[in-house]
Amino acid sequence: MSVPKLEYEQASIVLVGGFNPQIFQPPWFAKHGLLGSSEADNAKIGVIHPEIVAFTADWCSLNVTQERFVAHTLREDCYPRLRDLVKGTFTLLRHTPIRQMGLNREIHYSMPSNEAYHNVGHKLAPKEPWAGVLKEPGMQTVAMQGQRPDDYKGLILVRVEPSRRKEVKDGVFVQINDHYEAKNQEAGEGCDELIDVLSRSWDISLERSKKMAEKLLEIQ
Amino acid sequence: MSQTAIKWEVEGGEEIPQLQGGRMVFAEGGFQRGSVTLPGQRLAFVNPKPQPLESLGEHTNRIGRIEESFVSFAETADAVRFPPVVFVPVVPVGHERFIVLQSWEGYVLSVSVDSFVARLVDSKHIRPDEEAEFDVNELTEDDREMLEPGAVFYWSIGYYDKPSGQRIRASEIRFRRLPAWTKEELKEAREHAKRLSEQLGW
Repeated sequence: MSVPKLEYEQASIVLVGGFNPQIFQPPWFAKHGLLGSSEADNAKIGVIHPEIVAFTADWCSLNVTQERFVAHTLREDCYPRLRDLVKGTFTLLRHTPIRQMGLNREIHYSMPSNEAYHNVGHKLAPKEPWAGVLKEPGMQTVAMQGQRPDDYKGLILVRVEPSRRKEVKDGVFVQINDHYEAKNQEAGEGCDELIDVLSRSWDISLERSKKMAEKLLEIQ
Repeated sequence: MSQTAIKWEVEGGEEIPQLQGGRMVFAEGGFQRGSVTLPGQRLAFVNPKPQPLESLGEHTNRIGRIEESFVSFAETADAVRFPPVVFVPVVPVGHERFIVLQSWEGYVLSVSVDSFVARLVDSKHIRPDEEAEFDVNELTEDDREMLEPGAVFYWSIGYYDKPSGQRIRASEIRFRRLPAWTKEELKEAREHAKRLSEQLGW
């Protein structure tokens, strides 16, 4: 029996709090050994501005504003390095006020047939309630929020959509946002707490996310 | 006269110079339109005020790849040095992907002149630990500086899909990069170890 095929995926770590974007430049990462010197030297700078810094260095991209830090990679083999990069960064900048953290995984699957593709929509968004409301209704987005399966503060958000990637035939996009919140957000001391969560939970979160996506698409 | 440093490349033998990280198309009259490629998308712009090229860098013969060159155009009253951005339809760009077949976390046990021995722990904890010897040439220049007993690295083997669609078998070793311990952290760790030792009665 044919099964959905994983075509593209990426993972990202998102931190929400207060940041000084100008710190996060490739030479700073190289100086502290978090990126190799040639990785930093060859980084492609998107923008460096007091309010936003964005660059891509070989295997990862960073985008930092005053409220949000995003590190992401398209390479599965670099997922451990992405965790190390963020962990190392905020071990150095441990007094950064961080309130929330998202460990995100996005996967594009190609379904084995057009029928299987439509069945995902029929299963997740039954059309019966839409009878007489819309002509030929089709699922565009389904987003579900659930409680965490562990003791951390936060929630898990799952979004399923048709893949916008044209090269993915009968494509389905699944995004899992594994969301964590610092216990005491007012104190502005969430950095150590959330980086500790990152260290302990990254591998678990990635594996759980993939299993969730596979269960939704009945790959398991 | 203004100058913009660019890198040139002829695409498919046609006279289409490329800007580093993007593309500039030269039509009759000079700098007309261009684009910048970002991960997963391409932004493009056009110059609504074409201006004549005053000169091209002396290496811009438009044949073969030329590493560094420049283009100059006249700085007239209405010259547009940096053309305003006008978005045009996004052109999908190639996508590279590393498909991991197996991965390990490694700990360097010993280092010799041209090789090193490491203990390998299966990332999924399915297989037992193993020991293996690696050629130093497997490492990037950046990572060679980190090679010492005790260093931690990640080893992945799998398929590397190039943006062109070509698939090759690939193996990649990358060392873990974390900030060095500070004196304060080392002091805390020693004190913690001392307390543990005392509790255990050693």
